[in-house]
Amino acid sequence: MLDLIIPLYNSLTIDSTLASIAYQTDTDINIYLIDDCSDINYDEIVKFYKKYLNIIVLRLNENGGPGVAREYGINNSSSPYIMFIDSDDSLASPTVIEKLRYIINNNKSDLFIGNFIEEIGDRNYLHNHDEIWLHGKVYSRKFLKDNGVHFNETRKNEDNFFNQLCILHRPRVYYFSDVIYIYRNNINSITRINNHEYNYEGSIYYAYNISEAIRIAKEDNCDDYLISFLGYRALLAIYFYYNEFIKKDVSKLIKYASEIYKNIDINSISDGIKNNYLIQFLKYEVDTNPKVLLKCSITFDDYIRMLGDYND
Amino acid sequence: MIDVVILNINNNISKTLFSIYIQTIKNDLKIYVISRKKDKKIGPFKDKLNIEEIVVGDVSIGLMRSKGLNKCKNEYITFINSGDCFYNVFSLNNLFKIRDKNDIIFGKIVNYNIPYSNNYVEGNLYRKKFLDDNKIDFFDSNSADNGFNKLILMFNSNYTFSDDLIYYIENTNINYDIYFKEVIDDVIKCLKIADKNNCSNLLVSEVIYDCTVYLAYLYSLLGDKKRILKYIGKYYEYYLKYYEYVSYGVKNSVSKYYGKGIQYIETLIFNMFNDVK
Repeated sequence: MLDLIIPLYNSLTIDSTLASIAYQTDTDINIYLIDDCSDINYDEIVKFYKKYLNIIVLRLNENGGPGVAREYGINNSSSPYIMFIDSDDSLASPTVIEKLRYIINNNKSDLFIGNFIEEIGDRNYLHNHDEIWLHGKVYSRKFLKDNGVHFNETRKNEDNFFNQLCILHRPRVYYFSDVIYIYRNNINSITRINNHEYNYEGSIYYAYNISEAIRIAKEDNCDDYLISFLGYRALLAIYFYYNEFIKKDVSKLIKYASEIYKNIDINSISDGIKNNYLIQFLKYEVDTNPKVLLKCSITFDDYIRMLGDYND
Repeated sequence: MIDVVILNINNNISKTLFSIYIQTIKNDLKIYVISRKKDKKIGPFKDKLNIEEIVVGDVSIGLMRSKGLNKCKNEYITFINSGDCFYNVFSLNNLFKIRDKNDIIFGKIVNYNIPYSNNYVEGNLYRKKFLDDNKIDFFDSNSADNGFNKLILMFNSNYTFSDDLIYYIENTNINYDIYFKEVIDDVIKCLKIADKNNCSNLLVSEVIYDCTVYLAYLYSLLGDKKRILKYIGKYYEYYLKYYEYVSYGVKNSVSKYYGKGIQYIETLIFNMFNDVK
């Protein structure tokens, strides 16, 4: 019924991730480890866990990044449903797979969205029915294939591209309230080190990936209101990035943001929804990164005007 | 930091060890596996965890836990049964971080009809020094958990409750007939120890009342009650001795713990002792 796809590149924590699967009450699933040309030899770890789990190891011929690895995993697995796990994260309890099996068997849906916990230092942040990350979700393989939902070759925020493309094609979504995934505080993970340069690059890839997802959605005649809805949210996120990285070259941020802007109808989004998004963003920043002080160099309205006037 | 004592009598110790391996504080743990005979499933984990297996032969659960307890040297101890799991990666740290000056931290059991219990030891955290100072150990019986916790409470321990989900039970097969008799025997042993050590009547009465409610609850679940009536008779004398010290506050908190009103609890007790008469 379910394939777990885990991209693997020089991970020092895959052992714990696999242990969180091995302690499940239900281990009747397939686990695909997609080795993205790691320098580390995982044979001993795989040999150990093969006694307890059904593990299939696939190796890429050249390093492609997590998106390429996941796409390879999708194309070389076969169960009707797919879940992605990062090699430094964990399942949230011993009954995750058991619950998922029950939920999937009793609800006809294309996308199942649960909750996940983000470990931040010694605090935990609950992501409730998040629609941005891959964590805490199960995807119907048929839906992905029928709608051309795929990972691209970017190496940052490629999960955003995948999820936005998925949601823009209007899957039947089943929301459930169980916490099924823990996004771990891996101090060795480059995304966790307060790496300003990594975050700056990440912001550009974010803007690019969202603009690409929207462009494809327009070509596929996806719902215009939904495109505007998600596009607006992305513009808000990019606005925060723009202010954070104003002292760097933000020309690409503006370029991709303007592409998003031109593909949406910002006036179709109600003020209520705009305010809700703003509150969500601010809450997340305050809860997860309270030391960051955002000094706006430009108002949001001026930023939107700038996007409208942008000429490449 | 924490010693983990695993009672290895069910199958599937592997799942238990995996649940320990994923703990955020796994590097601060020492694990003692107490087995009746050598278990081949433990060997593969010796590279991953700091494990020592102790083979004790065919002895009672109480004696097995006692062997583990007496090997422990860390400041805190927790107990888990093979086949059961710590709930998630934070479970042990969630207990440890609220330890403060407490002698017991009661953990929440996920899938049992009573979320906290001082009738079993699984999922709780115990301070070793308190146990050593008061010479608290497990009785040689298969219901020794109950007596162990009762002794701790009678010796005026400081305790607190964790709000987090700590423990997941896989195996809940209890032979209530045998268990009932052993619980009573162990509680009577506790009372004798409490007498000898001049434990406060108030504390003892609280513990007795709580234990009586538990017994009454178990009694209500039994099919054939006749076989154990003589044991209840023996227990009734102790109950009467301490009942006068039981305050309304104690009755209230115990009844809340079971999720029922005082009247319901008192009715359960009345029904049990009435059958004895």
